[in-house]
Amino acid sequence: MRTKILLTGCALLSAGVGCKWTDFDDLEKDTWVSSTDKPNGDSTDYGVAIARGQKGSNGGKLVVIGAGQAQYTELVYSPNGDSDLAPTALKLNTQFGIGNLDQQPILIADPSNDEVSLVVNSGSQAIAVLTGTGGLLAHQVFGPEQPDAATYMVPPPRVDQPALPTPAQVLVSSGDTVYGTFVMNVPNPQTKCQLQDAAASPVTVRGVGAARVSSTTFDDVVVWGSVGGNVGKLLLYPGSVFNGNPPVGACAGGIAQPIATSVLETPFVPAKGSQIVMVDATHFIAVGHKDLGSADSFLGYYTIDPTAKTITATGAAVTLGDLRTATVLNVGTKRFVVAGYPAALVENVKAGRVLVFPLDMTAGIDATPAAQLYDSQPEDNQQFGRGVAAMPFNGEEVVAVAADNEIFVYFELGPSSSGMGSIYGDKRVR
Amino acid sequence: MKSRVVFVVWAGICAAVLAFAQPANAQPVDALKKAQNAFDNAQVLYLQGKFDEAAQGFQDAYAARPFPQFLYNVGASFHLKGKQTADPEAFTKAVEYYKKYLAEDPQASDKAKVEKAIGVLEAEIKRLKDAPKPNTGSGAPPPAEISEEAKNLEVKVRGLVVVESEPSNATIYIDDKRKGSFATTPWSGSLDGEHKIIIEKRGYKIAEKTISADPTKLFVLSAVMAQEDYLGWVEFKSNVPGAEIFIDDKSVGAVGKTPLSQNIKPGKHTFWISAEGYDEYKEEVEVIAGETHAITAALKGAPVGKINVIGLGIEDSTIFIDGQLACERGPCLKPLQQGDHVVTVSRPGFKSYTRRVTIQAKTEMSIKVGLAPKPSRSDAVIAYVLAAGFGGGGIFLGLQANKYQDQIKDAIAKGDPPPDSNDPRFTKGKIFAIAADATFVIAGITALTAVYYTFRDKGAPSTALIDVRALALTPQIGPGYAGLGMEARW
Repeated sequence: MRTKILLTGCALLSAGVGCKWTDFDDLEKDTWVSSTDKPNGDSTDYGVAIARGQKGSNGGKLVVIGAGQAQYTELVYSPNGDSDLAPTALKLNTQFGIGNLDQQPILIADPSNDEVSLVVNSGSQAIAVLTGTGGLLAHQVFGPEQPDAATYMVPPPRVDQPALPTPAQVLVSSGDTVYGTFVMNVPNPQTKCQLQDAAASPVTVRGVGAARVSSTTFDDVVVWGSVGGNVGKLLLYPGSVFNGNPPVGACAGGIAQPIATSVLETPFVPAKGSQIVMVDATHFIAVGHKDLGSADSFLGYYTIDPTAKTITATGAAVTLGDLRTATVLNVGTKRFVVAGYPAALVENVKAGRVLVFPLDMTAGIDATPAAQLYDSQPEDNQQFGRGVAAMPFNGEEVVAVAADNEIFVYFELGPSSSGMGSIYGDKRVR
Repeated sequence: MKSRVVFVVWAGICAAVLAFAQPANAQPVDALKKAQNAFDNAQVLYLQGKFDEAAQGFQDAYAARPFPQFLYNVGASFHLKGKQTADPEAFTKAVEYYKKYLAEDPQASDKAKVEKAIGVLEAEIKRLKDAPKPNTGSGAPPPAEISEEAKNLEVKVRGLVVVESEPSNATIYIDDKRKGSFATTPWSGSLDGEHKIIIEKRGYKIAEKTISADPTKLFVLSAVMAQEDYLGWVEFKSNVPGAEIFIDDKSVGAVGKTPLSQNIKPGKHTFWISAEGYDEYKEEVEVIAGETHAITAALKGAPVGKINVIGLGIEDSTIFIDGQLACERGPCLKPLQQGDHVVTVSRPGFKSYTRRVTIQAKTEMSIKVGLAPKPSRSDAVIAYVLAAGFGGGGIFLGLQANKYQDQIKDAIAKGDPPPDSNDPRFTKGKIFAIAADATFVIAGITALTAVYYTFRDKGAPSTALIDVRALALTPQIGPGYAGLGMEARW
């Protein structure tokens, strides 16, 4: 009898105090923010760049680049939001002899398919373009140069071999020169084209994008750069600059001039690491910052007139400091600019945050963010927002944020009465 | 009986006549008084050495009440005279009256002794008569010497206890009816010491008297019994003499042993008759006033053995047999049916001893129990304290886990910002919850251990030495009964 009483007491005590540790697993599934720590590997600075991975209707994939010992990984998210590391992880040093990466390596995704490209400085002062789907292969290596910006673009047919197909390829800029990377039959030497402004001054390219202006079959090149180091300019070049130094064309002689009507001085002089992020064929945002470590930054929205071939600023720029990177989030018919501020103060801690600005295609960026994202347990130098991406998940886009050795994915942005905004509901399949 | 004493009392100063009711007939009383006076006078003369007069006094007493003991005392008077005078004529008279005594009481308990005295005296008479005659004219002859054997022959007169009743033929019990009937009235004989005399007769009230028999006196107990018409009369008999008789309530003990007859109040009564080694006999009888009821028990032998529980401290122990209280304290000797039985000996502060034993018929199993003291339960107390400590720790940890759980739930509900799946509060809360669970498990195990410690049989167990001895049935004969008795041999 005494034994029964004791056992019953223990059971009641256990049940009453509620020591179901599995409740925390359930709570983990209840929260709509997934966080993934640095996987085991050589990388000591995981998450320096992120981009969407292969697209699909179920779950999602996110490409994550680690620095320190350079590493390529792909996080696979199941439809219910659980994450796992794909077996395609690569040690870049082992595979390609790339030991260290820039603080902000260039990782771009092909808008026309699932491919991604990592444009980095290889060990021998050369530019390496590593391309692939669910992995990376050495696409082209050339130089000796340093990569400053890159974009996917559909180039015009090659002058020397016009019959070759022209799928989207990576255009890399280094200093005032752009390099077109061919899918096959790479010219030797590597073709290149120096970009000048209308006054024949070299344009130091800081951001490059692909705009569909003068042709319906290939892209022109929109460039954000500086001239003389103190004037910021947006310029539009013919797509043929991809082909380098052909006998004829825009880059004949290895030098290209911009489309004269397109040149637009910007109030911000971009430094290395600035970006042009295409919203669509004729709209883009300019993500600018000074050298890394500077708080000055710039987020502007621009429209290209394909007829007049002009570039105009639409709406006011957002000049909040410490902007590092940004991307465009498409939610149905709405668009948002997701901007990462990894040095921003949160609760008096330099932990970083991400602001989600509504984007009106005709009115520009709304400077009042629809949501602000940060870690609920902010830590100093967490660098929350040093990389952002719009990740296709269950057929729709969700926000992914990179921090120091940690990747966040927001499967829901609202509805909520709080500052998280009400942008999209829970995208997970429960 | 060596202490048996015969006294002849002529003097009436020591005689006692006890009457329990008004005398119904004066003649027996007068004869008894006459005999008593003659006895007392003869006793005085005997002490004065006037043996012929003393012998005459005892003859007068016998003439008044013919008790054989009076004849013995006549013989004793002549015997002592002959012993002092070496007179063969005195010896001859002594032999004559000794023989009359034995003729009157052929079952006398001292028959052998008297016969031996007769033999010695007859030889002495012959020796004295055959001795050479002394010379005449030479003065008085030297007195004859008696033999050493005749000198050593003890001789003395005896006292007498006489028990009479009116009416006669009543049953006499000595001290306790449970000892069985002693004799029937009238009875005379020797008794030594203080005794309770119980006289009972059907239809009459029981007469009881405590007497102190004086070995130098004639003690006469005369009971005139009053009629008891409203009582019934029950006669108990059994094929096993000495069986115990219980009436209505066994717990008060046996009222007597078979054979037994006694008055009993009318009404319905239950009688048990039992003897060791036999099945119990039970009978219910409607006793009617003035009627005689015979209870005859035919006891059947049963396969019975005995168990005897002994040991150090057994007097403070309680003994149970087959779950029933057998003895409130030891030592405990009980008859048991043949077969398996469970014996439990318990004592406060000591470990109980329980053992299944097999009792066989006609055996006595002796169990010498050594009870071990109960050990301290301090280890159990420590375990309970630890269990409580772990339980308290588990509650604290569980509350911490609940605190984190509430925080996380609140944060998720508010979403400002929501905790991510890697939020340290998940890990902390989970750790607290797991730690709480683990602590509860430890507390539970410790509690169970404490319970085990509470009830475990710690230390040396209580033990016992068992010895089995054979019981044998032996014939036994006593006054008024004969049967089989049981005794142990080893």
